[in-house]
Amino acid sequence: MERFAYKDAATVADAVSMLKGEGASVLAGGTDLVNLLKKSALTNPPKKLVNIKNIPGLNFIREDAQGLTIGAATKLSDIAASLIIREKYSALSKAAEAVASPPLREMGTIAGNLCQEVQCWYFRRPFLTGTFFDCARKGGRTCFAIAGDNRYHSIFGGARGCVAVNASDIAPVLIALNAKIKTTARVIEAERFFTGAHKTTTLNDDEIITEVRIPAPNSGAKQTFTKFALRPTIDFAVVNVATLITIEDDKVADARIVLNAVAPAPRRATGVEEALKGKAIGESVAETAAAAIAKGAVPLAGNKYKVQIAKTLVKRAILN
Amino acid sequence: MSKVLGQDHIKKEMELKITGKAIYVGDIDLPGMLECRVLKSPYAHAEILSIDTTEAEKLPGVRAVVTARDSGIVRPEPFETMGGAHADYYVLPPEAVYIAGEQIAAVAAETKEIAREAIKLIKVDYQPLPAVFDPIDALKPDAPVIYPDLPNNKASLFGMTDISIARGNVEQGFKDADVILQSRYRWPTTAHAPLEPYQTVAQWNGDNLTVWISTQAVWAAVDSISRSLGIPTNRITVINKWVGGAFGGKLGENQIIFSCIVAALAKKTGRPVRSLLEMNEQFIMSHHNCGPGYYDVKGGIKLNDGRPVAKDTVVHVNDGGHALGMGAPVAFESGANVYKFDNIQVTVHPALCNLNISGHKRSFGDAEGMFCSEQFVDELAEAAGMDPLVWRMKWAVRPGDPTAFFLWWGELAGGNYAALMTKAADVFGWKEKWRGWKRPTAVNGAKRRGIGMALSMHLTGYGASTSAVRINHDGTVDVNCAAEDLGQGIKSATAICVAEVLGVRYEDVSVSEDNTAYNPRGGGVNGSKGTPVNIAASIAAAKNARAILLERAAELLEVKQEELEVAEGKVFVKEQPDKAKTIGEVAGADEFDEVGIYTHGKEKSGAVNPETGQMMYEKSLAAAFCEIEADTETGAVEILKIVMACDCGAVINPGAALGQVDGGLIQGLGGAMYEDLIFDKQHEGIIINANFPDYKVPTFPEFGDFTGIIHSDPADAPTCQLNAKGMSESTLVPIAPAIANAIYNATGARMKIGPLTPARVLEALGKI
Repeated sequence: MERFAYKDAATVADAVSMLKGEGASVLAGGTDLVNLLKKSALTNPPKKLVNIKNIPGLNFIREDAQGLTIGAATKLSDIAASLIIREKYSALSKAAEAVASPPLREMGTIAGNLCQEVQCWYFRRPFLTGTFFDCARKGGRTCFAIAGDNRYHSIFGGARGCVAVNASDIAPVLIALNAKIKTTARVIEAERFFTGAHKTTTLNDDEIITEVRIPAPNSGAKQTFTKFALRPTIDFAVVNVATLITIEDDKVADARIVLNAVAPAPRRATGVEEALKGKAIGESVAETAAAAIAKGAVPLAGNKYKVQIAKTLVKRAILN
Repeated sequence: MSKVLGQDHIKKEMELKITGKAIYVGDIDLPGMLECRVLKSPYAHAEILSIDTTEAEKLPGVRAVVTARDSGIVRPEPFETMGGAHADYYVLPPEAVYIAGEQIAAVAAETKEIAREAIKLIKVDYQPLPAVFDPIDALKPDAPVIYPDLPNNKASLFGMTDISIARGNVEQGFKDADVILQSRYRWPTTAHAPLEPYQTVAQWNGDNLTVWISTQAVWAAVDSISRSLGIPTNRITVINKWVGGAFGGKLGENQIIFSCIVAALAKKTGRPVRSLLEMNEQFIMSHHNCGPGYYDVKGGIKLNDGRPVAKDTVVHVNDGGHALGMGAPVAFESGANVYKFDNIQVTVHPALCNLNISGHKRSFGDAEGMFCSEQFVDELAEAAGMDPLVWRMKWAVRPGDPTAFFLWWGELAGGNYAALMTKAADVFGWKEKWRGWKRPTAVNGAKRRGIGMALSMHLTGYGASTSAVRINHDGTVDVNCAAEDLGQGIKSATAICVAEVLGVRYEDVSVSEDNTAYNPRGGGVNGSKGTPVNIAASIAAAKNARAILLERAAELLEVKQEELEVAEGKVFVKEQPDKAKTIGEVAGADEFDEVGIYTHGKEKSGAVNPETGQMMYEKSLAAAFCEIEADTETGAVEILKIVMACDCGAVINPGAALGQVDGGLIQGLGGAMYEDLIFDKQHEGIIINANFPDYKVPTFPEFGDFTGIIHSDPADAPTCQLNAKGMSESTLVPIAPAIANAIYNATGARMKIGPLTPARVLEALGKI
């Protein structure tokens, strides 16, 4: 374990002030960050962890006529268990239940899930293995996955030379459902929140998420979430997909289809969305629309299979 | 009629384990103990030009650093190993490294964190050298030479390279064949993946060394530590605690390295030193199975009845960076045994690669070899147009049939494949489900269901062991032996067998911890020999104790020995049961002989059939049947149902035996579907997935509906004490080929490369 100072924030303002300056990091559930620190995997590990779990008012699930609001520190297990979410925001419910395993969902928070680091095995290589990769994401010059083993990496190119993927299960759902993310500095559309360019999100160092807002879906809209993982009980997604498809007069009026674990940031399948609009959903429409995935893909040497899986998941989500 | 043997008994340690009170080596906390961390090579192959430890030694809290050039008591001699060429294999390598992750130097410090910081301060100058990462590439004429004295990177076993065994004449056999098929299969490298990594503590008391180590073989550890440190064996005590999984990994030089390193650091500092590995280090520093490997097999059959006339198997296998020859055994059971081919030839080419050492891993190559051979016999049965169950019923070996043990031919001692197949097929419903080759049992859109089966065979036990039994004056019994309990329940099984022989209750028998200060010499537990060798030694000791008991009781009761019986803790006259003495009374009857009854027993394998003069080899057998659902659009394979029947001769502790079957299923399923140590050839052959999230083992929901069947028949182990043979390894072997055969019948895709990941299934289907 790396050495660090530990600070308990009592208020959101408190947290923001504690985060100012070099080398501080937010600690929520800790399931990702603490693991990185235990493995001594980072070039410049944080010197200070600011715990936000004891801040009152960050842990809630609230619904009104406008939609759903979830506090940043709300646990994934609480989201998965919420009857309101299961009923009206079923894609989010499924995604929360699909994250990791029960003990990790009991610790992990929704904001932590959105801010999680990549699972790239070059980035996360533990110090004691004897091999340390000073990779592009850590400020080095090389992305070792491009020449190395990239079976779980991006099929849609890199971001600033890094081909690691965002593997969040929650992120694609929020984008599909038109969610907004409220931080200590702004309110931003979920779709514009992620970058993947050597960091997961567009958050500044002294900015934290406070809540997530999801508008109430239209009555004619159908939502899905599907995750493909090698061991569904525990693994990160090889590919996941969230959809929100609105049908009017038996035809697709609007479609939001978001893939994750396929690119440095969650990726809207705009080609598929366009191909669906105005059409009645059926096997051949779904097949043709999903084929748009393969057209835009630039798989690496070891991950062509992910294109086939992404295509299949999208087709099935459309037909669902 | 047995009173104890074959009844269910709760393992003696269960309460300790379940309540968290069982002591593992990692729990040992001695006053003043230091923590060890090890610096590892980032290169697969490099000359070590210099090592500078000055800065590390200056770090506050650091108490000692060892390297090959400043190793304290570690002798500058390479390991001696079984049969192999053992090229340049050291506790601390003096001149070169051959595997990324090999130990270079070690630090003892007040805390693990300080030791880790000190590791960062050690400066090593390397001259990187060309490396090779594939057993076929390694043999090519232009491959980098790893050791100048081993031409063409050929490793050897027992002094032989290109190791071969044969029976009959395969060339002639192929001339008689109606159909000849050829296939190439491949398997990956897999890890033991114990939940407890290597843990070692060393403490000196004057010139005497005590090492606590989580191991399968305390006596082998004593020998190896003695050679490496140059101190006599009687000044070394090795103590084993409960073991958190071993699977063949807690055996051999890889873990002895840590014993010697902590012993050297303890000597230098005058304080006890402990090494607790992180999980990633366990993956990187252990030996692994014999992978990667290539299996080229050619087989010929007759069409009228499927008669297997000839099979020629050629195996290329990684032998790791130190040429121990331990990859070689992969071929023998799968290539030479199981079926009655008229002519058989098997050749193995173990090749030096700059990869982890090949070594013992549960089934010692049979899971790998039979992944290939059991798919190949399906190919042959299909060519003959026969149901694979019918073909196997007809052509599987029976007792007395020629059977190999490593390089030597003998005959199968016992075992009944027909009974295993019949039992498991009935429970599975094979006859109802089988619809013919490449005929799925159900089709639902892209999802196709299919069934498959496979057999397995694995050697059970070879070697020697000794044990001591004491009958106490209160009628309780102590067994003193090294019986390393890895979770398989050998200590409890020993107590059951001794109780059976001495006519006492299971509860009345205690079995010692593994401690070479007082244990008689044991053979270690590997190669499924815990039962037929280690427990057998305790059975032999118990029989000797029983003989003394009867002799003394006959004197005391003034009858002939033949008139006596032993049961329920008493010796009594058969015809007059109330004429009796408790065994404690007999043991303590002579007031001038306080020692009572204390005696030894020994088991040494090697039964010969007096009629044929052939060696009789005991093997454990299994038959597995499987139904899967394959998604032909994603490549995902779901396990729906597995039924596996396993033999064991006479069962000792049925619940524990079923536990071995369950464990075999889990490990077999892991090997089939997920497990694959990924060597990154672009980056020095490092294992890139050296952690549990990325080195995937099954979790409970992945098992499907599983039924394990123990086929207990004393006739299946005719040469074993109490007719009990080993059974833990053969249980994982048939799972992967049964699944692969089921995928074939569901989809028509022959899965020739393991593990059977979605990417591989999609490739085999031509989807990518």
